[in-house]
Formats: sequence, C-alpha cells, structure tokens
Amino acid sequence: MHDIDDGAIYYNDRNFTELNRNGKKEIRKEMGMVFQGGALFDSLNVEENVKFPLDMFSSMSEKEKNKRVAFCLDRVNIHNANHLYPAEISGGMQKRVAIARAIALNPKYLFCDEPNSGLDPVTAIVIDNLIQEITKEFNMTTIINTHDMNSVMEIGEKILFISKGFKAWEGNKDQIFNTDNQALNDFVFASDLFKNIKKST
Amino acid sequence: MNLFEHVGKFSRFLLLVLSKPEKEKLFFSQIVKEIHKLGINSIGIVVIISLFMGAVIALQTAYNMLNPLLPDYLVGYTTRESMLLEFSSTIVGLILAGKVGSNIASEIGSMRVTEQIDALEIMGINSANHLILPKIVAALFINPFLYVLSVFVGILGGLSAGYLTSTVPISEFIYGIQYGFIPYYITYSLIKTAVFAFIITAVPSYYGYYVKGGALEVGKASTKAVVNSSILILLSNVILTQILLK
Repeated sequence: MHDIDDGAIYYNDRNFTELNRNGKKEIRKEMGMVFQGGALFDSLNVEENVKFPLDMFSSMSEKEKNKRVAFCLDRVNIHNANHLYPAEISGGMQKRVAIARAIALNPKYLFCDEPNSGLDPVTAIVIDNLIQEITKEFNMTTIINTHDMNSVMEIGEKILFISKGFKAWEGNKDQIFNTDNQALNDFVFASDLFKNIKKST
Repeated sequence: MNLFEHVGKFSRFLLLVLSKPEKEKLFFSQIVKEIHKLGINSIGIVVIISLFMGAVIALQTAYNMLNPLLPDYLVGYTTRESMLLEFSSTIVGLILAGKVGSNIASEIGSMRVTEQIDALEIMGINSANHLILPKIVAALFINPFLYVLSVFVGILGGLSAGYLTSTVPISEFIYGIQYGFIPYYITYSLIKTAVFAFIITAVPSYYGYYVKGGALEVGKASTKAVVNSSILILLSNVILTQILLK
C-alpha cells in the first residue's frame, strides 16, 4: 500500500519492491487481510463481499463461486445473513465476514490488523479462536497486529514486540512473564490486573 | 498544496484511472450501476430545473420586449437558444457538479477513511481504475441524454408558460423555436456536456480518493470538490466557447 523509503522487501526470494504491478498482484493473491474496521464494501452485501475476490481473480464458474462463498461463510458461522449489507450487521459479524473474504482465495498468508478491536471480550475470544482454527485448517501463516494482550496470550505462538517502530523483543507467550525487557514489561503489565497476575506467578 | 502540485498529482491520478480494467465483465456491470446512480437518479432534478428555467426565460423575454416591432416568435427563439447553448449544458453541469460531485467525493472519501480502498489495493486491484473509471464512462454516456432531455423540457416549460399567461401564442412560440436553427450548436453543446461530465466525475473522485482523516475531512473534501469542479466547468466553458464558436 505504501512505497518504501529505503531497503528492499523480499517475498520467497523475490524482491517485491522491484516487481511491476502485475508481479505484485500475483503475490498479493497469496495474501489475505482482515482490517481493523473490517473494511467491507458498503455497496455490496455479505455474499457479494465474499464473492468479490473470486469475481476479480478466479476463473471459477458462477456455481463454483457460489459454492465457495457458502463454504467460507459457513466456516465463519455466518448464516442467513447473505443478503444483508455491512451496515446491517454487528461488529463481530463484520469481522467474521472480513475473515471469510480474506480466505476466499485460499491465501498462504493471512494478515490481521487489530482483529478484535471494538468487540466485547466474549466476541473477541470467538474471533481469536476462529482465526486460530482457520490458520491450522487452511495451513496458513497468520500475522496478527494487536495491542490486546488477552489475544496475544490466547493464540500467539511466536510473538514480536514492536516498540517505537523497531523490534524490541521476540519470544513465545510463556517467555513474556519472565522477560527482563523493560519496554515489554511496561506494556504488558501496565494494568493492575496483569501486575497482580505477575505477582501471583 | 499549491496549484502545480495538484495538477501533477491529478495527472498521476488520471494515469491510474485511465488504465485497462481488470475484469471487463465486472467493469460493464459497474458502468450500468453508475449510469443508474449518476444519471437516472438525476433525471428528476434536471426535469424540474429545466422546466422552470425554460418558463422563466420565456416570461422574462416576453415581458422585456417593450418594442412593438419585435415579433412574438422571438420568445420561442430566445428560449431555444438559451436552453440549447448555455442552460442545458453549463447550468445543468453546475447543478450536477453539486449533486453528483458531492456524492462521488463523499462516497470515495468514505471508502478511503474506512480502509475499503486499502482492501482493494491489498488484493492487488488498481482501486482508482476500479472505482472511478466506471463513473467517468457512465457520466460521459448518460449526460448527453440529460442535456437533450433538459433542452426539450426547458422549451416545453417556455411554451407552457407563454400559453398559460397568454403572453405568446403557441403558433408564434413554435415558429420561434424553429427560426434560424443552427444544428452545429447541438454539436457544440454536446462537446461541452461531455467535457463537463468528465470534470463532474474526475475532480470529485480525485478529492475523495486522496482524503486523509475522518468524517470531517470527507466533508471538507466534498465541499472542495464541488467548488473546484464548478470553477473548472466555468473556465472550460469560456475556453470551449472561444475554440468552438470562433
């Protein structure tokens, strides 16, 4: 989405920054993205939103596309909402439709930007678990950008802590509690709840 | 941002917009949707304004013809010439710049701030081309029809006003609308209508596409789009008139 200022980006040994638009398009087909606000297309209903990447990039017949849409929506537990527009469904449903759209083309990589922001804790866990299940089921690599430590501790396998634009720490969820990285400790144990948890452990 | 930066950025934007569509079938279905949204939905306002403007032009002409040597058919002639040359192309263009322009700028701007355009880009889709080219093509197609409709409705408005107020006999008015007709004026006005259609869609799309921030900025972009597209319509009207009627 943004041009780089310096350096290069490599994707499977291919220099992404030197690729032309078509080359980048081919790579982007292998990626799915779930945006913070869902970023569903307002003018399309739920079914059309999920079908959109198939319309644009697949050579499937209409029947195959409808079958794939039905599968993706069923996989994220969206039922009887095919003809509703994004404004007519809840935030949690919007996130699930966004996930369905992101997996429609069977991506190798799924990027999620704050997937459970603005959701209540129960729905947030539902979304976290859904992402985790889909990641395993579709054999994808999922990269989640989040500030939600509940989410990190729930589904994070490999965790990178970014502070002020740079990688400040790397590890897994078991190592977080014992780290001596000050920036990470200040972030994770900012709330009294987490401070108490740390004391008790 | 100064004028030259805007011109440069707008040129780069047009390069993105005027490229080959990704999927032709989808592109044509979008054009049909846009024709409905930008053109068919504007028929009401075009008809109402043209009808009343035609009536007012006829009445003003009739009431200002104090010299008895001026023939009655001049009312029909003036109404036709006003509608044909200026009102149905330029004034309708300005009205559509307000109605359609604000709609386009806020639609594209909202898509930008809610990351819908980013979603298209991340899929590898040329978002400017996908969202904006159908609007431009649709307006270029439908606006000439709106122009023709406006001319007919305006003349009908003038005829009705003249008849209902007994200021001009129908036969004189009809003679006037046929008197001294120059077919090239239609070509001239259709060229203007096509240029205005491009401005009405491309300029608001540009302001909406590059909006940054939230709802407040979308509103500001919408206002800027309407103001600047109106100015461009007026400016291009002068230039086209000089070129085409010289």
